[in-house]
Amino acid sequence: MSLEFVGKNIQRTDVVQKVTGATRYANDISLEGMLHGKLYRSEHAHARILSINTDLVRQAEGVAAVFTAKDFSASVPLFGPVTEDQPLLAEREVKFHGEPVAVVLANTAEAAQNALEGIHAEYEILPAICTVEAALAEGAPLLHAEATGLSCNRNIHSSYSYEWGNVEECRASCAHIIHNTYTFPMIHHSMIEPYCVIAYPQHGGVVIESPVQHPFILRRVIASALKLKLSQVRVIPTDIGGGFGAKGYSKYEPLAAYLALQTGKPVKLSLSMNESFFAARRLSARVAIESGFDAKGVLVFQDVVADYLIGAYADAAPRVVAKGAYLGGCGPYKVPNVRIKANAIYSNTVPATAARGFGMPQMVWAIESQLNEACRRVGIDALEIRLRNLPDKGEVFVPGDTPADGDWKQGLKKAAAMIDWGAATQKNIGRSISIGIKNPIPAAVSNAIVKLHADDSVTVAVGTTEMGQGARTVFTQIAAEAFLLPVDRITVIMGDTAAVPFDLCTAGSRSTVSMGNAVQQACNDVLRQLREMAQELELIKPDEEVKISGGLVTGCGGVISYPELLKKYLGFNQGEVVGKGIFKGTKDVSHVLGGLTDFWEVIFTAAEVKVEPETGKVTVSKLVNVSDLGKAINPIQAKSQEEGGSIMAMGHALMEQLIYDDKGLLKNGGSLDYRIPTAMDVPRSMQSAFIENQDGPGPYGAKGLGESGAISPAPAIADAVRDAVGVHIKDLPLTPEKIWRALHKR
Amino acid sequence: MKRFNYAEPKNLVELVALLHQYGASASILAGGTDLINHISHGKRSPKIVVSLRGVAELSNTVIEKSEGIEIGVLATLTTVAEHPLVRQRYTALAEAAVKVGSKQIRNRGTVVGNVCNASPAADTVTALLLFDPVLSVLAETGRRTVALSDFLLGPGQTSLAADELVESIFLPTPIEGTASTYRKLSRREGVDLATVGVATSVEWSGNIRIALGAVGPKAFRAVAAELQLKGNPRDMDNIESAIRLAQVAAEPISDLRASNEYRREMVGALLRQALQQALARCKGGECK
Ligand SMILES: Cc1cc2nc3c(=O)[nH]c(=O)nc-3n(C[C@H](O)[C@H](O)[C@H](O)COP(=O)(O)OP(=O)(O)OC[C@H]3O[C@@H](n4cnc5c(N)ncnc54)[C@H](O)[C@@H]3O)c2cc1C
Repeated sequence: MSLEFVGKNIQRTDVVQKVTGATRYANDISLEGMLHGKLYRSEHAHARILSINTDLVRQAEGVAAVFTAKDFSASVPLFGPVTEDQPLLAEREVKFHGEPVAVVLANTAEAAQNALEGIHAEYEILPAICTVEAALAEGAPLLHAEATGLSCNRNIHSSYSYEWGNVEECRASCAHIIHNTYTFPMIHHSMIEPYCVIAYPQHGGVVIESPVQHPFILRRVIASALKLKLSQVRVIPTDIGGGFGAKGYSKYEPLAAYLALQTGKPVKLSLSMNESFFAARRLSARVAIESGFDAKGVLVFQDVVADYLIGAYADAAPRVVAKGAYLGGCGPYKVPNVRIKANAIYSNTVPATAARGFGMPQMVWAIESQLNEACRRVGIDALEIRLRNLPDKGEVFVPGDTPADGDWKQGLKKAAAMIDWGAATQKNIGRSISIGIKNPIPAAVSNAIVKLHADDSVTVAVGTTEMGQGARTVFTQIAAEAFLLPVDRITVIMGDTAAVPFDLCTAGSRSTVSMGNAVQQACNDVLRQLREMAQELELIKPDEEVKISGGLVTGCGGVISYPELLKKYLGFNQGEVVGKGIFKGTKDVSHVLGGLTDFWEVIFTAAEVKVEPETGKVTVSKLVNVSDLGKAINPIQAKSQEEGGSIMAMGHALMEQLIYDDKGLLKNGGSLDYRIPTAMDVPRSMQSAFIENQDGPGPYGAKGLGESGAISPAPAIADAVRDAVGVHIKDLPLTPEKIWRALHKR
Repeated sequence: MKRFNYAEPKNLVELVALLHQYGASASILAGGTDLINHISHGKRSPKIVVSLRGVAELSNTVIEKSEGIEIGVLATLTTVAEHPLVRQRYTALAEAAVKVGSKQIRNRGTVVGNVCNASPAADTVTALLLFDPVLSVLAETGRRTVALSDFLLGPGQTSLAADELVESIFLPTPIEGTASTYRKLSRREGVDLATVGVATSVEWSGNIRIALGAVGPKAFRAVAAELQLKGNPRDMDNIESAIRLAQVAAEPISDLRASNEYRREMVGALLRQALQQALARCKGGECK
């Protein structure tokens, strides 16, 4: 089948608006009579609130209202997508440095900001817990002892276990048993656009405009926290200036909605970039992993305990743990015996949430590093050990779940070839290779509505949000292909919960597959209706072969354009054809995650690094990524996702980590002290390729991608460093000082 | 939002009068890449910001003089980094200027601003120290000159009086055939402050100069190490002895960027690299 739009590098449909600054972001919104809110935040990690003096501020010029927990009519509402444990404002106790304690509403942002200086809070400081060890220690203070009614055992919010085979019985048959503990730091998403939300009352409910990735989850969370009906909460997501999971779940929206309802006015909370560090981070993790191999380097078992440190409130973190752990025993490999236990552990740190890769970078760091250790013991290379352990296409590797859905050995070999695997390297230069894997959100639903208008232009209405990943363009291409209409005749409306049908979320690399299918189905629904109309008008015979494309219905009786057909059928200027589509991920109530994996998101990464032994400095000179993505609907966008993800991963591999001191104060919460890679840090040679076997469940055989680039680079880079200079580092990031110490301070 | 008045004097007379009038409550604005941050973080709260950009007499170029060069107060880091004579004779300065921040910062920020900000990690300061720089300082009461090493007092501190400004920096011509280089270690390649900065120059005669940045309250010349190398800069053992002297002279702190131990060690690593490079350039005749 030859394709007109799909598989082509169609220019992003929103690119001109974005580069000219015309795109309206949340912060550009200003409404009549709007109040500006600024947050007064805790200076302590863990403390009892004794008093908050706001008297001065209430009289201050321009200030309309001040809220602390005491100003709420009842107790402060709690919110959260998994556990409702987070208060709109801290009540009685603060649980992390930077937690909002009070909010000032004023006529201008400036007046609100200035007023913050007049607030004075007294605290009784409590011991802070910022590490897995401290949280699990005997007699550690319990963060949520009474507050939430959770059965909180030693600060563990929840635990997740998966097991198959028999780990104990197979030990004896192993030639090599390797036990290591790997740690993964707390990472901030570092999206460029800070948090911003505008909320206003409407029709007895509330409207929220915010750069939120999952408008329908936000609607549910707000409705539940504020005791509203779903129909009373309307979420209009604005274009997102970078999300990466940080904007997935509710942050300041519930507070803004509450304030709008209380004051009867539009309320805007616009935060600074540095304040983002007080809102979200990736989970850190300590992964203790024992792996058994036979003499040939084939995996016999893996026994894993993964302690993920979540923040002071659950946010989406428990889900991250549940899903990360699911593949935490096997990764993409056939492992006959697996036992994994993962804990989501509370701490007095910024709430942890979804982040590109959703729990997998932490697990893949450990699993891949184990393979790299094993290949040295067995005496084979990093490529060979992976080839020996990968399943073939169609082979089951997670019992009870979808078999391997791609030719993974093909992808791995391609990445190896692209980095000249096996060619000799010079001194202090090393190479390695790794595989990243992830399953999308199981049993997730996407609906789409497609409207063909009287002039043969098309509106596609979806709940997916645009955060730079290019979903708007991909759906445009899918619709353009279905109708064979030029892309400029297609408009994609995204997100508004009052205008578009339900979609679970824009996450998990799912939208091209799930929403893409829904859009395609909705387009086909329109085409079906056109055909029925033509039949009803007796323009074509019921069993006649017709072509409905390019704006024309062509049968043997002749040709009629869509506008003509609509006019004939519905009347002049009267209406449109509305098509509906739905995609439901494979639901399976007996499955631990509630459904089967719709596709495996798999990536192969090869890295070449140069290490300067005198300083410990690592330069990634070459980075190769190969994604098994079925079909690239828009190759250049897919490539950007892959590259962007892997540059992000270079950050957590080499330089990024949030640093808390022993009092629980965040020491590097800001872009000056928290370092992420710049354009200058991007490898000189950065190559992307795809395996396109059209074997995915999405339109045209597509699978999803978007997260995978962020999953696999760290172990490849770390092992390349080991290949170059012999140091084996198990805790990220690989800072020059750490490498230098390993080299010189043995 | 911080409030302050803003003045754009048109000539030196107006400028020095304003500085005299407002004294310590005035802040001078060159490129503003430091000043604006200081104001928004509350480190500085001037009543008035006095911009140098409209002052007719102030130069934004590098002026070649018979006995050296004069860096105008408004010469940007880019201007200095790209100036052919700077690149040829004051290579370390060009290399340091091009390592400051990002292109946007270098197009806006000035060398004089980098100096007046007096950060211990300021890249161009470390490099400038190799070249006997003399600052021309102006006030309503008149002009004076001061050597850079006397000008710098500590982190953020200079010997500038409240009503004074720096007008230019003069660098005498180095001895014919001097080669120099600047090495910077930072956490990432783009837009980062130096964890350690080392500048070195080598004269044909074998005289060596060494300046160290980010390893003390201000950048400084490692004089003992220089003396150790004098006349015998290529001998490996001697280089190692000099490195130890430089390391002893360093007083690094531990912070988010690195530990003091690592910084001290890196003085050695960077100095070794810098010496190697400067010596190679000198031998290669590049510096002639
Ligand atoms: C993103 C970013 C990255 C940076 N990276 C680096 C880096 O890598 N290395 C580095 O060294 N610096 C760095 N800096 C700091 C800064 O850019 C440099 O110090 C720059 O050279 C300052 O020059 P300016 O003209 O902008 O100074 P301004 O901000 O205008 O002034 C700096 C200070 O000097 C005073 N001042 C300016 N001119 C005079 C004068 N003629 N007489 C008396 N006082 C004066 C000002 O009042 C102010 O206190 C960075 C800054 C930013 C924002």
